[in-house]
Amino acid sequence: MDSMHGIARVAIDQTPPACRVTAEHAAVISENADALVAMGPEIATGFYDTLYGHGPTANIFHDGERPMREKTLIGWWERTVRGPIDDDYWAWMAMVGLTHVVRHVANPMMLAMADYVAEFVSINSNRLHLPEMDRIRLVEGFDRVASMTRSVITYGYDHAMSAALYERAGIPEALLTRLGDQTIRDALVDAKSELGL
Amino acid sequence: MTAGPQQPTKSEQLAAIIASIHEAIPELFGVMIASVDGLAVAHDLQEADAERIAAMAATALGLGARIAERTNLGTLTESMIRGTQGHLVVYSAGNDAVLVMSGPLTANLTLMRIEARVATVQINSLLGRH
Repeated sequence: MDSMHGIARVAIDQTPPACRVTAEHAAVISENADALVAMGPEIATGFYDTLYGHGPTANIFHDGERPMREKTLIGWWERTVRGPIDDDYWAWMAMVGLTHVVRHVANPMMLAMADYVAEFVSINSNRLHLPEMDRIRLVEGFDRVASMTRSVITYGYDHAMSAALYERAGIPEALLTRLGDQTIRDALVDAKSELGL
Repeated sequence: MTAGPQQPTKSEQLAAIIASIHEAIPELFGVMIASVDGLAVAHDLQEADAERIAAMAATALGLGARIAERTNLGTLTESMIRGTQGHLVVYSAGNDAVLVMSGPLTANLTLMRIEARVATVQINSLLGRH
């Protein structure tokens, strides 16, 4: 298994630079950190209301776990808005990908919920009373943070799965890719037939 | 002025190894040399089967090596699949390649092992990263 910093670096390098969080985005986020931190509990409540309101995502959690999960999310939010959004931050997100593997959090669950936070900021950005250009940059910044978070967590998740197959079953990543290619080429034929393409 | 004898290419040397095994054990269905990541390098199997067998042989070797390692059996020497119609035996040829022999149930496994012992050294010297 690669290091968390290594996983994050590969994921970031694969992301087009035009989609990454810039220094300007990070600056406008951290300049408004106090007001954003104050939104943390509201975000956590809405976030977990959404997860607990849907059977497959609610089933991820143990009884009585919600307060601890909300506290963790508030901690992540505070770390995100206070910054720095640096290599250590993305390494932490890579570790979240590994956590998702062992908690059986599927990527569609994570991808949808990353949108929740960006959307919350977009809807509530007027509460910060910022000049319009700063408000736009702030909303865009959180879109980028959400996008990069999705990239790093997804890559961390995939890497963890392929590394586990190598560690336990001796199947190197290149062989796994080859087995996948061979199987999926056939599956694509069936898929095209199913879709009438 | 005449040119000296031309050295056989790597492909020709691998083909010669396969031919030599087949000559020693004519009943074999086929012989293959593949990379550890499942790429067929040389073989005398049906072309349509080669890609699939190379990937599966590499998988069998990788899995076998892990099982041997995790159950304290030492270094894997061969991984054998025995079905009702025959054997498929995979041998490690260094860190980078695998040797695959497929044959009927009547094929002499001891002879296969002896041939593999010689061939894997040759394959490793040709394909291994030294």
